[in-house]
Parts: sequence; C-alpha cells; structure tokens
Amino acid sequence: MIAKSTKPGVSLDNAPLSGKPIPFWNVVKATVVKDLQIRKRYLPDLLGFFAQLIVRVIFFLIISSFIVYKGPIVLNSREIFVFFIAAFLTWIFSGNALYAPVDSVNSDLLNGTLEFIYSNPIYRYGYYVGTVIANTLVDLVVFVPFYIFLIWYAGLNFFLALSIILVCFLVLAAMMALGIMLALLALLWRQVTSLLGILFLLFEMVAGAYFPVAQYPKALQYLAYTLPYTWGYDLARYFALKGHWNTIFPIWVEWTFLGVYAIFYTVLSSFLLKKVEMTSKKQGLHII
Amino acid sequence: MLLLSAQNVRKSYGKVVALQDVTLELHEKEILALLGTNGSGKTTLIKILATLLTKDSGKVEIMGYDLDTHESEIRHLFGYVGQDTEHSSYARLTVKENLQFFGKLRGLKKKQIDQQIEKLSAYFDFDSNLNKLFMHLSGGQKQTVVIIRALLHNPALIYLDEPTKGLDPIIAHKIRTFLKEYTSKEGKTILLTSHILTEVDELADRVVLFHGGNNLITDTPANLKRTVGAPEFIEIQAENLPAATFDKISKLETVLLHIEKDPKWISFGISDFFNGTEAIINILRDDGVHAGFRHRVVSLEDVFVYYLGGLTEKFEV
Repeated sequence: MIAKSTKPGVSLDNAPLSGKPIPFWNVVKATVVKDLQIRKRYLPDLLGFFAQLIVRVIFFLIISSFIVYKGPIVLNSREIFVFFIAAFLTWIFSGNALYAPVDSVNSDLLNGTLEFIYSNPIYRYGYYVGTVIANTLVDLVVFVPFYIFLIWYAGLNFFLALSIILVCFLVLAAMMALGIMLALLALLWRQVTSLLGILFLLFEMVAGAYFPVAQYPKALQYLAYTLPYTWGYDLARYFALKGHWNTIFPIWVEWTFLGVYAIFYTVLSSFLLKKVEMTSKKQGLHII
Repeated sequence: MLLLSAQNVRKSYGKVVALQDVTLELHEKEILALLGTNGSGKTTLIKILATLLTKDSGKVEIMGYDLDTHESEIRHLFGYVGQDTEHSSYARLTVKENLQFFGKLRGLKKKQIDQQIEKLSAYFDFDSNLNKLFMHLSGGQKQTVVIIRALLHNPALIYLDEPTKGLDPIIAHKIRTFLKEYTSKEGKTILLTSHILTEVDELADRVVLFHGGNNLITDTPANLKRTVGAPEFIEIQAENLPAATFDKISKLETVLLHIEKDPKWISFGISDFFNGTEAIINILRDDGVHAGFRHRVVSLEDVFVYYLGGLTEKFEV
C-alpha cells in the first residue's frame, strides 16, 4: 500500500517543513531581496548607467538648443528639451522591465538555478515580477534625480508630476508583461538578445522617443499604436508640457489604451508562461 | 511502506525513445540506486519524478499523489540534486544568502531556514563557509551547498543525480558518509544515480539496472552479485596468458566463468577461493607462465558488465 496522505508527508515521521502553497507576494519579495543583494555587488554598473544617462541629457540639451518644432503647435527650444526629457524619463523607469525577466532567465541559465526554480512549488510569474521590481527599485536611484530635475525645469505642479509617475507605472506594467513573454522565448530558444535589440529600436524610433508619432507616415503610425511606449511618451509629454502638446488621441483614450495594454499583456504573458512551461517539459528541452 | 510507484512510464524526445516501459517502486527509508550506461534513461526518469519533464504515458504516484494531477503538492515532498553542481547557485551571493533565497521559495520562514542551515551545515562542518560567495567555493563545497539546499525543507524523498560526480575521493567519501548517517537518523528515502559502483554498493539497499530505457532487473546489491555466478575472481594478465593455458584454466571444476571487462586482465570466476586459486597456480606453474595474478571478490562492476557490458562469456564446466 502506498503512503497516502491528504496533507503531504503527514503519514510519515519526517513531514516537510512546508506543504502549503507559497503566496505570490512571498515569491516576489524573496526574488526582490535576492536581486538587490546581487545588484549591490555590481555598483560600478549602476554608476556607469547613470553616467550614460547624463550624457544623453546633455545631448538632448544641445540638440534642442538649435531646433524648433513647427507642427500643429509650435515648440521652442526649452519645450523641445522637455519633450525629450519626458520620453526619456518614461524610458528610464520602465526600460529595464523588458530586460529584467530575460536577464533573469539568462542568469538562471548561467548560474544553473533554472532547474531549482522550475521544480519548486512557486508561482513562476511572481519570480519574474520580483526581478522587475528589484530592477525598478535600483533604477529609481537614477530616475529620481532626473524626475526632480524635470519638475523644476518645467515648473510642474503636484498633479502633473503625479500623472507622469502614473504613466510610468502603467508603461512599466505593460513592459513587464512583454518582458516576461520575451523571457519565455529565452526559455525556448535561449538566444533572444537580438530580438530585444529590435524591440528597443521599435520603442525608441517607432514609438516616438525622438519624433512626434503624428508626423510619421500612416503605416508607421498604426504600427506605433500597438506599442505601449507610444501612449506612455505621448501622455508624459502632455503632462510635462503642461497641456501644451497635441496628443494623438484625446488623453482619456490614451489612458485607456495604456491600461488595456497593461492588462492584456499581463493576462497573455501569464497564460503563455503556463503554456511554455508545459511545452518545455514535454519536449524535454535541456534547459529545464 | 510504499512511497513512490512508477508504472509503465514512457518518454520520448521526438523519435528518440528515452524510457520504453519503466516500472519501479521505492519504499520508505530505502536507498534505491539507478544503474545504467550513459543515455539509458536514468536522468530522464529522475527529471520526470522531479516534475521537470512530463512523461508520455504511464502512472506515477508519490506519497499518494498522482504526478499528473498533483504536481504542486508533489513539489513540496522531494529535494533534488541535479548533475551540474558547479553551476547551481547564484555565483555572487554568499552561501547563506543563496540558501535563504532557496528556502523562501520552498515556503519556509526565516527562522526555519536559519535552523535548517545550522543543523545541516553541522553535518558537514560547513559553518565557516556560510558567508563566502558561492563563486569562491571549491567543487566539493559547491556540491555540499546543493545537498543542503535539497534538504532545507526536510523532504521525505531525495533525488540525487550523480551526487559525487567529479569530486575527489575524500569529499566523495564525506558526502557518502553524510548520506548514510542522515538517511538512517532522519528516516529519509533516496533515489540515486551514480556511475561510481563502489558508492552504489556502499549506499544502496536495492539497485535497478537500466538499459535502453527499460529497467532490466531490480534487486539488492548482494543478490545481484550472486546472479553473476561466481563469488570471487582470480585475475591474470592477459598478454602473458597463452591460449592453451587459458583453455586448461577454463576447464577447471572450480572455475565457473570468465569476464573480459578489462583488455589487460582476464577474470576467472571461481566457486571456492582455496581450491580454485591452488588449481590455477598449479596450471600456471606447470605451463611455466609468468603473469600478473590477483584476487578479488565479486563487485557491482561485474554485475554491470555481466548485464550491460556485453563482454561476458559464460560457459559450462
């Protein structure tokens, strides 16, 4: 007769210390702590990132000093600088959300911890969310100075400053879900770094980090509409320029787009995570 | 009491069949070893049991839970030590930080984790390494961390896939001693694979021989050795043994079989040490043969070669 039990291990002398489902947020918390401990040992990397961003800001300052935008509205040099910085802030806050889950898979492959993660009774989604939160917390260190600078430079009130943060959070949620989907591809194919590069190019060029999407050819505009960053940049600019900016659609539509994208990508990535795990386990991919 | 039961388990990767029809049972507080050639399906089976791979068909029950329907529950019940322990934890975390993270993913509270780390590291006298970065540990120390990790949540069942692979004999011995001591003290059950047959002989209560995705035979090491057909062997250096002398020795009443597992040595299985040895020495002396000569008792290596090597010749006397 097999040692049957309704609770794991209770019929045996040596019951496991935990047999309960592990709460989602406990996995997130553990992962955040782990990632922050690792990042603490890579401080020069963070300094390098900060230096890179300062160079970009200086570049924006120089460029904007000799450009004037004449579209449906006219932006002077100072406003063009704000135009760049608003998009730049959105990007700093959420850019790593795309990379973090993939980096996590790569790090688990490198460190050989992937098998442990995938034979554990945890929510894998929580694990990836944890990596994004840890990265965001680290990125906040560089985000906050630039954010304060924007508030001061553009003379934003509390409501406008808060709206920009909210936009950043929504973009982060959508990007995290996209990042998790890319991590799934990394699980299946391993090499997805070049794909990430293409996506980043799209997010920079097509979503309108440097140019207003409304000025693009129609086909490119439709492509831009599928990217969460398009709405993030547009809304951030609207608030940073204190409403002196023609958004692509009315702002409530853009908020809706951003919210729907965040929810849609999250649901999709959660579903795909289960699918990919099943496929990997069935096909016997050597990764897990 | 039966802890794990696998019946008619099949698994293929595309056209490659890894497990054809595997059936095995694992009892509480038992150490069961899977023996087989490379690619015989041992690791695939362990990965299926560790929920890392899905089987194509068959039924697996672990402590009353069906693997197909209760994967989450089953994941609480076992500890798993995979093959690549050199890369098995976060290189830039300390041993303690790694174990705390892994423990949290097992649903343990900080206090429980600390108690378990203290208890398990005491077995290995490992306290002084807890604050070292994982990347600064030696191979044996890394393996120790992985074993501690597998035991953190006090699982009843432990899967060890070649636990002493690539380790020096002293560390390997230390790990074997720990496994024996820990399992007998704590009443754990172990499913183990290893190519180190002395290790299997030392640890295993029963052995399953794997070949081509099937389990050929399951028995205790002692019974398996008996099936080879000779309790002891006299080995003679092959290059100095003339064919005529070989024939004479083969025809001796006390010689039951010969195995050529090593091209340099021919092993004659004998039924009786004194009479067998004396008769062989007499023939060598009469024929004027000067050859290396040694005696050994039957080992699991003989069992392995006998069943899986295809090098055995059994003959009637």
